[in-house]
Amino acid sequence: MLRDVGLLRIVSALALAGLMALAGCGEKADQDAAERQEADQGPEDAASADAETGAVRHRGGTLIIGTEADADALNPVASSTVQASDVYGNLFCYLCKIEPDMQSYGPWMAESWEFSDDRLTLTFHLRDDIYWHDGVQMTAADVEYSFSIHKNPACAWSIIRWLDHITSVTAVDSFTVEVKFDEVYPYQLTDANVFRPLPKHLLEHIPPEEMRTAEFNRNPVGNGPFKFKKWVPQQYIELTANDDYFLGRPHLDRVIWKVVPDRTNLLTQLERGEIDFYHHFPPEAYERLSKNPNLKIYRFPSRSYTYVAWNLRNPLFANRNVRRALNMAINRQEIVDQLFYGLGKPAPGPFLPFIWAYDPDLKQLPYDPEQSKRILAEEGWEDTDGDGWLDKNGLKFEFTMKTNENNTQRKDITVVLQDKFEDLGIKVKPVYREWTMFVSEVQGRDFDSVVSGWSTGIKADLTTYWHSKSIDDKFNYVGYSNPRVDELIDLAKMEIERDKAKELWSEAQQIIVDDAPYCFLLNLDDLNALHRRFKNVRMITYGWDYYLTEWYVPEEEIKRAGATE
Amino acid sequence: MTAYVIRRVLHAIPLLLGILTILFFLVHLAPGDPTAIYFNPDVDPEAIELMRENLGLDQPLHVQYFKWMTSFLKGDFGYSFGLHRPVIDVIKDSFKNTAVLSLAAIVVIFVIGVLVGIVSAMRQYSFTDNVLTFLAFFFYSMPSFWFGLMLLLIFSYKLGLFPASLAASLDYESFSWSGKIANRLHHLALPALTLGLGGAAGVARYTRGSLLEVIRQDYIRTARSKGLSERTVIFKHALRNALITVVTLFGLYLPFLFSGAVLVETIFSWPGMGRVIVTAIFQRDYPLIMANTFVFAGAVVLGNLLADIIYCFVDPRIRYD
Repeated sequence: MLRDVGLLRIVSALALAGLMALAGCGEKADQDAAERQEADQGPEDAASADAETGAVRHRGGTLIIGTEADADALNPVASSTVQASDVYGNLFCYLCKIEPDMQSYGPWMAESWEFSDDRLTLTFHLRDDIYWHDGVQMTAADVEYSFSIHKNPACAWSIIRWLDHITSVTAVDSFTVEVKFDEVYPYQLTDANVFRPLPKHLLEHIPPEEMRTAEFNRNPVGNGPFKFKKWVPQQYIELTANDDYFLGRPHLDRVIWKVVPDRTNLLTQLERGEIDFYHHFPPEAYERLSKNPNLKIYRFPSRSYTYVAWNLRNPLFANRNVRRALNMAINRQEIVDQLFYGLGKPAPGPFLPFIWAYDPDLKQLPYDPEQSKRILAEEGWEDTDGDGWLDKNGLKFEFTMKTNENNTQRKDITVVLQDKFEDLGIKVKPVYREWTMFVSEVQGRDFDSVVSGWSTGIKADLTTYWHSKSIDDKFNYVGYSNPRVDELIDLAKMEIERDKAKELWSEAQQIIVDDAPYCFLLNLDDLNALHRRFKNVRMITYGWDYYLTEWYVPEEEIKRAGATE
Repeated sequence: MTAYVIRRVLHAIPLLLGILTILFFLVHLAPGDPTAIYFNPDVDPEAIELMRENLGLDQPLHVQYFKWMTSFLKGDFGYSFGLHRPVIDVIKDSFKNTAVLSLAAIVVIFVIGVLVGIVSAMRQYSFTDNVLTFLAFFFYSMPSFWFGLMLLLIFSYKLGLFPASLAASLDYESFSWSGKIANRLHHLALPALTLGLGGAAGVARYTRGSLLEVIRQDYIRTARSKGLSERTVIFKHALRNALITVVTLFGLYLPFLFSGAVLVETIFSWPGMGRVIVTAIFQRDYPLIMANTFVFAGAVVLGNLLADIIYCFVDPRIRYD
């Protein structure tokens, strides 16, 4: 049966290709450039639309989002899927709103906040006009309670670690919250703002270990711009506008997430208008979707990157020069262009450009197969027996490259790399594993090299992947260790001054790129297609729905009820 | 007859328990772990350990087995790891949909199959027969997922005649009762055809073959010589005997329908058990895998039993006492 599903994917892909052929993809290259330009213009265009409409309020309209999987629980403390956070992000708010620059914060449920002189106490002043969707007023007690459940290990909240340095959260009065820390560090505000306050009056009677299965998770009561309306499992989740949202009612009436597990089907529905929005669509659909006159493409750099990891415990890759030679043999730009239609950029290093700690002057290893051959020869890798493959001390240069079975993009990458390395006389054998198996083999250090990816957070930190104290943990699975990098990470993490921290991070990322434990391959663009009747749309790397409350549909384009499938 | 049915049901119990036991160890011993979905550096390793503890995965396998079996025998399927809901609720939602789809497919299989078979047999080697035979082989040899995608591309994407997904419209609740039925059927058509046509083609061939054999029998000649109309001869005398073979297929098609549903449900976003089990397997959602398999296995056993009982009605020579 599993094999059939794999087969299904292949056939889906074929059908998709067929569909594209049906749609007719003629004049490729020249249109492509024009389209990219248009897509990039998205936000400016939207801003002008906003100016035109001025103060006119647009009410109404339904946004139907196609999603490949159903959510698990609409409760931030209990859920672990992106599908769910996409939905509950519109039901629950944070105290502060992160700015589009992804480093500073503006007011949200908290009107203002200040640190004590010793920076160990942070006081939030909450708005007094926030109500839960059931009409009960939100107070500081909700924040205090929410901290206690997020911090309770029995809830097994997945990012409980972010609360490590917060010792207490106390309601001083109805609208004042005091957060105490055990040390001073740069990300205090970020950590204090990592959990979303939940309604105490509805949750306090639930034992923490039952939080994951609470009835609330399927019928949540929030305080955000949208209210929960209905969840038909495996079919759709419906939210409606919250008329009493403290920052003003969103323009749209309804937002619906419709579950469509098959990609071909998702694309079909998008083009037929059965869904309005496809978040994160596959690059191979880009050309076709951008030709559809009803759709507008929103394209921006994603927060994730794809890499090749070398297992430093393997004698083949223990040598730094050999790793550098391998990285120099990989033409990253060519992979972006040929496999991903140019919809992205080579990944620069452990930090992506969206984060402040990224150093734009980072020096990259050049793509230079000749030099790589030379380095390998210097390291003793030569084809002595004339069989076409490099060898050293009677050992052939061959290794496996593992990736997860269900990711076609990564599988394509392994094939391209296999081909590239063959030119150098290195034999690469791609190995594909089903996801859970892949994870357990990587965790068991049972691999030579791996093609995989990381989704990066808003905090600048390299500890989990690159610090030698994480060498036996999950994420520094390549076994990277460099004392200077350890030192830089430890210093940079505690450096309150951004400029100084930036310098430290710059040095650390340069060393990591030079040491070549990974080949940082690609930072692909996040591709989103939305029906054109939605106006005033802006999407940013932080999240497609950052400005969702501002989207609207002009009155004449609002679909009749019942016309939505 | 009653005694026979009771005996069969009793026989089914150890069979099902055996299946579940083997499966339990198979899925738990398979590599991978339900917490693999938390492969994210922000996730605290201790939180994962706690989750494992909450899920009972930290205990030795045989303990987990006896715990699971005891609660299963009490009718408690536990909670789904991935969906955080009682497994029984998940099954209730999805079983209904799979049952509707399978029933519709059975109607397609047997109604279309038998009718085509009769026409083919009556006009053996005619142009119609040749065309129908060709079509039957075409549909029979076509993989259902490919066929499903083609139907989707033609009838949903190109022509826009049928909805591409879900079991009902998003605004279903606002429809009148007749609108609701029409809406349901509208959504059901493509998946049911996808799931049923291959089987219908098989049934058509069997019906044709078996009818052709029966028609050569003496009692048909007698019926004809009595001056009975051709319609009476076929429907009253020949078909009843010819259908005995076809009934056997009923028991065989049931498991086929369920496994086919896995693919068809994914293509058409049909919210049934097939999709639930695929996701459950990928996530190593053990309680959900077990419960789903129990329902599948139960349905197969039941299907076979039903086929045997139907025999009694179509063929009076068969008696179970």
